[in-house]
Amino acid sequence: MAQLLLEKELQKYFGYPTFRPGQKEIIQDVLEGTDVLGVLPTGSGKSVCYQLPAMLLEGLTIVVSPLISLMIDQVKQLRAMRVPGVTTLNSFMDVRQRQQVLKNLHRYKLLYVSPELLTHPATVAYFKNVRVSLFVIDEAHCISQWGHEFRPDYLKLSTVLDTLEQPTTLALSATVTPEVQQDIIFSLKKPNMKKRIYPMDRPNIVLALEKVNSDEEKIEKIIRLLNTYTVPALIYFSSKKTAEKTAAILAKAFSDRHVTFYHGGMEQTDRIAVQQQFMNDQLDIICCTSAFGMGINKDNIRLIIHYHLPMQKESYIQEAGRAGRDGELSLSLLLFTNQDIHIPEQLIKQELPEEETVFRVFQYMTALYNQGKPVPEDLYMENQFELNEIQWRFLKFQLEKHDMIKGNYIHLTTEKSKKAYHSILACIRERHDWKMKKLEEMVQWVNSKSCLRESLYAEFQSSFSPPIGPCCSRCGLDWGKLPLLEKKNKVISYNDWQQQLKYILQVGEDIETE
Amino acid sequence: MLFEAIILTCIKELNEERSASGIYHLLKGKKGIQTVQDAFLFRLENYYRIYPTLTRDDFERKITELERKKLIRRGKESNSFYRLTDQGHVLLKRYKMKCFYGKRFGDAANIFYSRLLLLIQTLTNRNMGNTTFLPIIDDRKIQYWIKQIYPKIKGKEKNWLKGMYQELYNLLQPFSELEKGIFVHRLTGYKRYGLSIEQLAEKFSQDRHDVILLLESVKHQMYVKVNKEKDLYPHLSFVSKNSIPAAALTESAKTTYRLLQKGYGIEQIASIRKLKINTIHDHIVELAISVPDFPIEPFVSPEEKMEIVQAIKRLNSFKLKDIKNVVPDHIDYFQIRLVLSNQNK
Repeated sequence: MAQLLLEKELQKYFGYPTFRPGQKEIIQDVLEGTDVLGVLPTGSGKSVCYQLPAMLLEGLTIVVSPLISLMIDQVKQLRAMRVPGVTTLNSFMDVRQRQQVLKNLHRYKLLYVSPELLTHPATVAYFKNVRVSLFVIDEAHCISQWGHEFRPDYLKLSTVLDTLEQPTTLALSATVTPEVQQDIIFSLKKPNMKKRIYPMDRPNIVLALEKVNSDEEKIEKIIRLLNTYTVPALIYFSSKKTAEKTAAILAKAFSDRHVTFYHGGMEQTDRIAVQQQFMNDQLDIICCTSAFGMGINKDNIRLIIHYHLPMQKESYIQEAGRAGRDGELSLSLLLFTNQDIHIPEQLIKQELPEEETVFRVFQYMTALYNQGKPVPEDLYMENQFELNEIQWRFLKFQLEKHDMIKGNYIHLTTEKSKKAYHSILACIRERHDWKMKKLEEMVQWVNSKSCLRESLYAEFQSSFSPPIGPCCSRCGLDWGKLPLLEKKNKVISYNDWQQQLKYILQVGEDIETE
Repeated sequence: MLFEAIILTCIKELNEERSASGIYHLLKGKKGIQTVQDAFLFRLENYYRIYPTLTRDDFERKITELERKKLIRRGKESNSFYRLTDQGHVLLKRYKMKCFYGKRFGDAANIFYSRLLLLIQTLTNRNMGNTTFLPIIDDRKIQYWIKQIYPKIKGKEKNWLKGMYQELYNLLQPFSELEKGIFVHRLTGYKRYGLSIEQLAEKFSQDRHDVILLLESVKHQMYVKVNKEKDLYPHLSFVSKNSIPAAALTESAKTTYRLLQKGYGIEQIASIRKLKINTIHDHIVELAISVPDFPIEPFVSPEEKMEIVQAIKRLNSFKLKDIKNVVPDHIDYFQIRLVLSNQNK
């Protein structure tokens, strides 16, 4: 398609006048039917790379996405922009709603689907009857065992591609090492995939680290920083509770600013409310967990603070990358104490089932098998064995891999079961060690004496662009004198209920209220 | 405090005849017939489904807290049954309970409220010439309703906003400052998203549960008032039109009802529908509760009914098991439940 035309279509569907770096190249590739692995930095508008082709290509575009809430947000936003033919298929929907979508696949242009549902045999059958013109794997690093968020169901995608007779495939990711890139291509069995890799360093973000002695000192530092700069800010936490607590402290300290918290434990309506408020500049400071950020298009976040140590550099790069999407100077600060390493260590443990639990699950499976009973519901297993969702998903995948679970049924022999048991334990240990290694890299970065920018990106790319402002706290930084663009939100909110009601309902002073 | 007061009220009314999880199911609005029947039996139907998002954890935490504060204590017979302490009684007596209409109008009030929120968001955005915004109400049915009625409003956005303002202003008058505040700050308008429950809790220094329940109470009362005085609230009564969900019966109970009306017996219906006898029994109890004048005589003879009623009086209890123990053996649980369902009508 002629270049000029593509820009016109972009304007027509999404209202943007021009492409961001990388978007156009990738779009042209997939429109020509080329399989692409696209690696673009956080905040560069990855989704346009498939949303626009979905509108232009005949047939259906399938997008596999690992996070249901993110999927739902995307669909909502597209619908709000009046982009036609967009829908989703996920486990929040009941059977009837899902059937409705599956039976009408031919009516849609763009379908977001969770990997679990897509790889379900009953679902795949429906897709054989429609023309799938583009198959998109979002957050493609989830397919790699060595990616930082391995999702077992992603490994089944290459089979789905076979069933769909190999439609044009676009794998997208931010922040992946060259090894993981190779692993993605290998797992998808597409050695000829074209690599479109864009550098992930952000010249407009100043990187800063500060070692402190206690959590109290962290709070002091944060307050001092927020006193210096009145800018939209995100503060990342590993724990929901600490995020809530800190939000309360900051709300007290800054009565003239709007502070709130955000985490995955909140109800969906409230999560959307907070996101929208932040984007509308109704909020200044958000204390959040890693659940916040993906799919947020806010250009003017100037300050990102990490209160806890991220589990690996990939997460840090992504979260810090939410700052300064408009290209203006922004600051990313990581605060840490020597004790902080214990939190991610604990979190790593929580991602994997304990050996003793694996043993009990095996016993239980054997008992079920002998009684001729099927595999219980996920929720039941999670409750029964006190497994969290991630742990059971991992274990279930392992059991499937060893052919102990097929569909809903258990197949086992003593021989097979013994072998599988030991292999799963070995796998758990291996994953644990690998995660610890990633954490160790993070800690090394924190403790190193060299330039933060250089050592942060070294693993991912050979060079980086010169920063537009100061480089990092190692290279020298004058804390209080960064020329960050100030933004004081003038939020109108009346304490008087009647004023507030008038304001919301856009009723002028002329109305009589008596 | 409101959340506590509601739980205390429930414990008081249940009088150690139902366990604490019965209260949880009641507030959450479990559809099962046992919960619905109990709601009527113990005159707690106004609290039915006033807190659908309540989690088991939060509920249990609150029960533990009430116990620690010595407002309730565990019953004599079983650990999961509670009674009020003297302190609990005193506290409850002093508390001015908020008004709810859970079973009768709760669902309708919530449909009314969701429509209202989405309509305000839509009108204020359209009034500013903006047609693209993220709807704050996800429910497809509510979104569809807006689509359907919008042509009637189109071009008159300003007048509608004025009208709705005036009516909401009048409607909110009798409420406390806190309730008014929560209600108006929850509203979403043009480029102005309403506060989340957590934000409201923080803004008004209230407990999260209380914010949810206060808002629920306001919704119920508004709905009832608007429908009582339709002429005073022309805009809002338009919003509340046809918001009562089609009959409170489950689909399955409706089918059983149709077959009963055709003259089929319980066993026949069970075999026609390939369902268990017990399920049909549940349907009949559901019908006895929800359908006015549903005759229970075909299933309980006048003598049997008398036996059961007397047993209830003698025991001064609604406990199925206790009643079963003292009535003649030929009377079964199904018959006891049917008679109980008639008790509070």
